[in-house]
Amino acid sequence: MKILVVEDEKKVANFLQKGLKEEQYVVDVAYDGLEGEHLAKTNDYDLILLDIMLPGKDGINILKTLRQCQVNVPVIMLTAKEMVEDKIKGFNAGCDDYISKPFSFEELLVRIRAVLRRGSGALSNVISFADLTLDLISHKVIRAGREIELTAKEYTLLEYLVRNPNRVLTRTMIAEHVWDYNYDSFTNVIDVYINYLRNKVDRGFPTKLIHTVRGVGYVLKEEKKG
Amino acid sequence: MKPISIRLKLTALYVAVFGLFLVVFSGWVYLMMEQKLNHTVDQRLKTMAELIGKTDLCAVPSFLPPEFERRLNHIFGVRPTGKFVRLLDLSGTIGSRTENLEDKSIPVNREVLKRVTRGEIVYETQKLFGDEIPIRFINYPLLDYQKKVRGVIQVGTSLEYVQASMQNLLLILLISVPTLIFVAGLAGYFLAGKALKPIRDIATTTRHITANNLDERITVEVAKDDIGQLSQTINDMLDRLSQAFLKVTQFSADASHELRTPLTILRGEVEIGLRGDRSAAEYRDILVSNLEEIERMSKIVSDLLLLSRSDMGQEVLSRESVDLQEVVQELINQLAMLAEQKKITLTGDIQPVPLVSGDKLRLRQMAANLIANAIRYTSESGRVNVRLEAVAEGVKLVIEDTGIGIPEADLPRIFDRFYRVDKARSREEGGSGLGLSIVKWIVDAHHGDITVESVVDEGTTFTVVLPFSDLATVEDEIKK
Repeated sequence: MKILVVEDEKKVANFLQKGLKEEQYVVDVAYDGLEGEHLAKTNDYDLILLDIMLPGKDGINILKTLRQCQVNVPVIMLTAKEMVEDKIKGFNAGCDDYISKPFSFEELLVRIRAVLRRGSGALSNVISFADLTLDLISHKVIRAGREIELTAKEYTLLEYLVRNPNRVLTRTMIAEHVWDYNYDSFTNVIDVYINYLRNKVDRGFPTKLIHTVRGVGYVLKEEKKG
Repeated sequence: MKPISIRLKLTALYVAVFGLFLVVFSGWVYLMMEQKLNHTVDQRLKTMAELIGKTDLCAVPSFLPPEFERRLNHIFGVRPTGKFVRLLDLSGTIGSRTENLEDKSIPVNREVLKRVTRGEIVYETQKLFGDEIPIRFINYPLLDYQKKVRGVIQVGTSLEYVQASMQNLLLILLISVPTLIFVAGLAGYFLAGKALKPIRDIATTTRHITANNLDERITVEVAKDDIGQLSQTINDMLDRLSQAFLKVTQFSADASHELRTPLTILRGEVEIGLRGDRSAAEYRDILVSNLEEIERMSKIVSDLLLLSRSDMGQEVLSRESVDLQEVVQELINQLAMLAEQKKITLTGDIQPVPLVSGDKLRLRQMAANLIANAIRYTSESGRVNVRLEAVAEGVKLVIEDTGIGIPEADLPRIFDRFYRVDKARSREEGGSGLGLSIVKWIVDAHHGDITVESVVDEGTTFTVVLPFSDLATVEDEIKK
């Protein structure tokens, strides 16, 4: 899950980045409105945390522009403005949720999960594919009743795969959702992590879930190896 | 006071004035009418008496009533109905008389007889024959050839017609006056209501204007009339009120926003810090950052308190003679460290100046804010120069920097509370957003003047002129 944080207050942006990373999210940060809008338009984020009062361009206008450009990524407004009119403005511009500063980080996490869940059509904080289950809160991964230990990056990658089953995911798509903008596209880091995952998730099970689509990328599907 | 009672008051006043006029007028009409009618009666009696006096009716000592009446008929052409005529000689002996006086006797008034003998015409009103209706008489002197009075012609007529007329008039007045007053009262009530309606409208509109709909206004129908002016006045007042409200709302929104940011940082950093085990260095970083935010909040709170106390007039400035030369020199020495850290050259061009009267602590705060600001917004290896000199208007303090400057569009607003040209930078440098507001307040409170000139990327110059202390002027003059 990749999140864009648009927040001009560096300290706020920093703790958000730190806290969200620890929750296995991939986080990009923009410190001003124009940079935020540019990143949101050119990258495929799963969620944007958007401050309202921003230098360059304010949050409401960024949101309006994004919606006009058919960027329908879920947006949570994150702002010190707590007047009802401000909230109405935010929702009218197309935000999915609104949280006033100072906020509880726990609450923010819950709201992020709720917004993401709504976007995926899921109703609980557990997603599953075949006999594989992911708990989005505790990040516990269970396959056929057996718990699998994963590193943060492995978990993020697996979550992305489970959220998009039976769909071919290119390396670029994976990079955009699982790695932040410091990802160097010339390395084979994705292939390396897919390998790690295979070792932990598929090894020892008769049904393999992670499959390579030669020249394109990977797909998560249920297919018995002949 | 409720508008309805003004309406009643107006109506009552109107009815009273109108009623009084009407009653006086009616009384006057009544009296005039009575006088006129009586006068007409008297005129007629006189004409008749004159005519009789000129005839030969009087030559003969007396006629019997039928004969007398026949002759009167002959003179006047018609029978003088309702008239009593008789002739008297000077001794009061009754001569000729009309038939209607045949069996009735009118007492002869000696006094009247005497006056008539002197040639006077005397009118008298008498009630005769036990009648309710009085009779009006003229006693007219009867003259002989030598114009000597030799008798009296008495002509009388009943005042029945006059009385009936007066009674009718009285009846008409008694019915019409109250009716008119009542109708006028109704009309007055209606008119007062109509006149007061705009005021009622104003009251209704004004009553439901609260802090939440201060932008509502009273409709001004005719701007030039009294009501229009009242509406305009109220609208103007509402304009001023809503502006003041807007300012207060903006200020409290800004203040809460300013305090929210450090609170958000504190809460977020602490919460995330507590989510897992951290190294000592990480905890230290969080605590250091927290301390920064707490200091920032303390500064905002104390600045806010100072400004709100000054707004309420509770912040009392002391009045002492202050030597700005000493204050500014001391500040430069203290701030030199801060400047050095940023590799900024802080220079002072401090000349001896007369004393100014004011609050030493606040004046020091003002100068400190300005100099610290200059250092804050000047990049490394820049220069900040502080100049103090005496000019004609007072003591002039000039703070020049070679800093980032202020865009022209922002210049008019830099003294506004929480106004920041560059929000992020101001916060990073530890500003509360209130420093210049406080500077402006201190300068204003000392009846001074502050101006600012700035060119982006070249630098900013703040100039403060404080008037001389009265005391100092006196001392200077003594020295001379």
